[in-house]
Amino acid sequence: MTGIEQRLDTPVRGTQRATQIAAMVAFALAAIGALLPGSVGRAAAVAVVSFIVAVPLLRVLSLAVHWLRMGDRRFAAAAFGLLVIVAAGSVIAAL
Amino acid sequence: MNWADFALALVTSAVGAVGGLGGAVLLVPLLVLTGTPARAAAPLGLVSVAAGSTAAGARQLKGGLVNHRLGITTELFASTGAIVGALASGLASDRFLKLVLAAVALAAGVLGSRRKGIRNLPQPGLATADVGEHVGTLSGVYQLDDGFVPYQAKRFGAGAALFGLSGLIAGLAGASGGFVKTPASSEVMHVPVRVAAATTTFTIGITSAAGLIVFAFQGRLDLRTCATVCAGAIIGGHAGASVQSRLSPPHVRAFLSMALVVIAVVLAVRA
Repeated sequence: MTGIEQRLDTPVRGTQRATQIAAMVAFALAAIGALLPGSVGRAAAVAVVSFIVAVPLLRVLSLAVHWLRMGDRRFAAAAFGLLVIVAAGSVIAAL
Repeated sequence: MNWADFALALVTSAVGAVGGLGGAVLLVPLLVLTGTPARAAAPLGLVSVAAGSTAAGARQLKGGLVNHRLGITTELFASTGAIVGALASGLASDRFLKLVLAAVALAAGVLGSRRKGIRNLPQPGLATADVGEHVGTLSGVYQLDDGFVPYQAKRFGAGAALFGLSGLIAGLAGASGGFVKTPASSEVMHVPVRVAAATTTFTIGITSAAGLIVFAFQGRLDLRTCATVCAGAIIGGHAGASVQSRLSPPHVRAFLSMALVVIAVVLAVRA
């Protein structure tokens, strides 16, 4: 292995806390969406589905930026490429 | 609120978390067997997977077990598969989707019962400061009891092909495909099983997101039921993870595998 291969990555700061908060927000929105009738419940149901879709994609975006800043361009490109694939799939599905 | 859907999501997520196979592989067939059309059950499965992945994220990060580079690289293939599968499932008949689901449940049952133990061994000279993933490679170090185990992903091509298949399964059937991803990482790519499982928990959220976006554009999301399943999956996932240390995962997996084989047979006969 070369020196660069053995360099330990520093995890993105605050990711663990952000993930904990995301889980709590997802549960709160899901509970409101499931239990409350009317437009509030429906809005919460829309929000929770949007939220659980957005959270992993935001995590990919934060990794892409983090790796780009670290100079790990190959994996940053892979992360950005993954977001492009998801975006392309969305466009195809929308057509 | 449909309490039956809530209870199903809760119980399947709890059992799936203990067994390490994920809850959706049980949830989707059970929803179909209780009268939900396969076309409507698949998105609910992915909602349960995405919710479970979000709920488990913090716990997985705490142990430094997730290899994000491995996850993102393999996810290029899994997400592509999920999008293709979700697009194809919009054109498929309910009978075809039921048969796919039966095959997936059978495969999950067989693969789940064949999971192996520890392959990589601790190496002297490594310490807590070495734990994590390495920059620029698909390698890293994780802590196993009092030792520290280095690893390097191998046979990327074969692993990537299996990840593509797992994504296709997720898009077609609504199951997480984690029962393919974890063995693909551990048995084919020689990544330690704990790292493979933690990385899978991270990546199944991305695969589900890719599939759910397609399902949303196809108008296949019943948002109220999605919220109900999401709430059940988060509680069930937490409950399963908290009792995991008190139950025997191999025994739970054996039970799950048998249940999945029975479900697969019933689904195939009903299709």
